[in-house]
Amino acid sequence: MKKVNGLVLRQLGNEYMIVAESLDLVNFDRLVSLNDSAAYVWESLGEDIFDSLTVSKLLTERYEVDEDTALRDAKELLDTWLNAGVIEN
Amino acid sequence: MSYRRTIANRILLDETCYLLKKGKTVKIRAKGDSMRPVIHGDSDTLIISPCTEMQKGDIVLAKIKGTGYVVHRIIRIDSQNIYLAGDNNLFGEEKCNPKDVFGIVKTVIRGGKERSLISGRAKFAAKYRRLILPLRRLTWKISHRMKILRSIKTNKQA
Repeated sequence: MKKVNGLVLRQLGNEYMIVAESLDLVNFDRLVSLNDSAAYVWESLGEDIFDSLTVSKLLTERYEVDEDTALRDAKELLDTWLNAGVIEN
Repeated sequence: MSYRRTIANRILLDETCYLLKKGKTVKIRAKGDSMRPVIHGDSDTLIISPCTEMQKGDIVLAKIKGTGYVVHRIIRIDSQNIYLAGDNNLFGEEKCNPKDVFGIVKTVIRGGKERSLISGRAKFAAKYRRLILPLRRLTWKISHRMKILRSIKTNKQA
């Protein structure tokens, strides 16, 4: 999987959201907002190709969480992002 | 673990204004019913474009001191200020500086269909609603008075 081109993570106060700043029409109607841990994963992934194992490794490195839980959370996160259209296969 | 959050409307509108200033057009969900029947809060989507010029009758996104952001119609412009009011508001108006007007709403999306807010028909309907405003106010006052009288009568009977 990889990020869809042209998306940037913006921090607004205590909130994070993914904004398609490169487009002429920015759609907030289908807004993707992130909490701290999801924002950390998004930033850490950079422009590289990734999968649920990459994300679960990031989670276990940063948070006190066992591998099974991290992998389950990683899959849930990537499903959410796929459905929101901010990442693609 | 949850990965989604709801962004406060004020924060979202700050970001909208930032993008409008950069020349972007923004699609955003409408809130509130002050612009009914033209804009339905929580169901319509607004397409807001950067504001290059504005005139009486335009629906704009503006920041009002002490109130916050509004999407209301321009009802008057003088040499220093812009005056706004919601189509559905019977009383009151807002005043702001032209630099606090960030975008103009030219299109609304309802039920998947785009509706122009700057067509001749839309502007005529807005003018008509403004024209009958005194009548709407009078109707509201009568209905309000009736409610009070009914409430007094009920209290006396009790």
